[in-house]
Amino acid sequence: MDALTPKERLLRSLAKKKVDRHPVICPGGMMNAALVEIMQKSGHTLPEAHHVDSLMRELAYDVEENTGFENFGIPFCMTVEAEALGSPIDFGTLSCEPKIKVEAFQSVKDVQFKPKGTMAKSSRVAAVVQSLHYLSQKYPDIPAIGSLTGPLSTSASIVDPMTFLKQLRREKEAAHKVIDYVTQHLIEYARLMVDNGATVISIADPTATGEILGPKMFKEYAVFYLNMLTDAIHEMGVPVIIHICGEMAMVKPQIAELHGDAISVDAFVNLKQMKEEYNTLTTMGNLSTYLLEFSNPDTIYKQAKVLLRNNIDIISPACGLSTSTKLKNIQAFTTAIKEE
Amino acid sequence: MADAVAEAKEEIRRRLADAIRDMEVETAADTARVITTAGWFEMELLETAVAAGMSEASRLYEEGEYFIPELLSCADAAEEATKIFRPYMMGQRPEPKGCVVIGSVAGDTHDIGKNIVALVVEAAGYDVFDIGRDVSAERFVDAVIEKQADALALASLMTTSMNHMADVIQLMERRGCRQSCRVIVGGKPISPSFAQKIGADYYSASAGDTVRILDEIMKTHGN
Repeated sequence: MDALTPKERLLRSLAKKKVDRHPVICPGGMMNAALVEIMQKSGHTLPEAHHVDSLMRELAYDVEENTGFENFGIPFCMTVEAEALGSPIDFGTLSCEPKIKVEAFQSVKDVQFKPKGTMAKSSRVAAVVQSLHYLSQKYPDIPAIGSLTGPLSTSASIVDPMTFLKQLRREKEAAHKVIDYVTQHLIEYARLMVDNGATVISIADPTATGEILGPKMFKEYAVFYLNMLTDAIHEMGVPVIIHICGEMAMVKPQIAELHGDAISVDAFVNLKQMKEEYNTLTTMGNLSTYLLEFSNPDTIYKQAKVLLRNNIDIISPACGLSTSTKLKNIQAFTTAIKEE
Repeated sequence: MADAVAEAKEEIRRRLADAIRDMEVETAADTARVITTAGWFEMELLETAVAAGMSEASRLYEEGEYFIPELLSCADAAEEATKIFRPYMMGQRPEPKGCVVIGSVAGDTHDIGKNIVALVVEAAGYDVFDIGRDVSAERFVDAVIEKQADALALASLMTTSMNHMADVIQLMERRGCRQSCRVIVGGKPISPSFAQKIGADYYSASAGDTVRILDEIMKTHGN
């Protein structure tokens, strides 16, 4: 029998304290686990659940109940922040996640800065925080994770990403101004989540990868703004998970500079080796989402056991799940961890 | 005298290539203007200068010295020079090596990687028709037929959208253009086994890889 509640287990893992077994989670946002199979069964469906708080919280509950992941994870996409800051959104379908229709601005120099309080006025932010409030009150033993899109990815969702990336070199001052502005709004959004019961904040920043930026810009932009955001959330008394996409060989030393309480990584990163190299790092990951979609429960079960053998601190999928992933595959994954 | 002119041409060709490699947009434009003012309109000079600069940029990217912001800035410098050359290049553009349609599949709005591939492939001498991101199977197949493409390059960055690659290939079969057009797939979640599973001809791991594959396609299937 488990000695700790899922919330205690996750919080203790993030605080580097002893736990009875490894937690297995899926934080939402980019790592959304609202599978088509679950939605078809429960009738709480996307895209509607991106907007309506009662549906959002029901779907988050369905995901936790059906998959075996030991958390609620909301929202189910990466567009809440960019929408609040001006980009129009295509909300997708049951199986296809929302996306930015077109970025609001062509250049970092065109950005129209919205005032403080903008996040609080967004109806989708309201749906997220109301859902967090409800779930954290009703199920106090289960961690409610609020997912944020990171500073660079949100910036590249309001400014044309190709121009944005060039301007990181050519228009440094204006680029910093925009990313700082975005980060301040993200802090405001995180505060709304925390004030409404978020146990943990998880930040995914897929534009902020070593592969895209290289080590110098990764440090100058990604590490700097992720740390600014993380430090502000820490001041609110809540731990932070940071997910870094892509291959990390190029930016390994910079990863150690991140202030997050756990670092979540992609499938092709050798977490065991990373743990050995940086023994103070709390690691999270990293079961291949490709395996979860295309493999079978037996293989997935065995692969999950490998993560346990490697003593990865918090077990989770390696990146964004395909919504067509079979539920039985996810269940094989979570079962393997829970029977430890 | 002829030697002196040849030397001057070579020097300025080098200067333009260096400006492109070094991401110096203004220097690239100024150098291009010096070339056109001198009346040196030979295709070889105009085209090889830009191609040499982009090829060095691609090499530095492949070697991990440049990253995406740098490569995009090199492309900007190359574009500035090409804009100045364009009126003088009319009618003397050499035959492209082949024709490639490229795009990110439906459901996928990520296109940074795809744009890099398009850039590098174009710099390598191919006609590239980039039809954008979140592209439906119908639009891909329409473009392949309309352009009589030698190859179709499909990109996906998301596990949620990668399955749409199979839809494109199946539609190519149904509309009868599969035999004449090789399909290359790539993107972060894509693997060689996935490429094989959906019936693609090639899996590409990088922009440089795509050029090598295209060269192979043109060697074995080109006219």
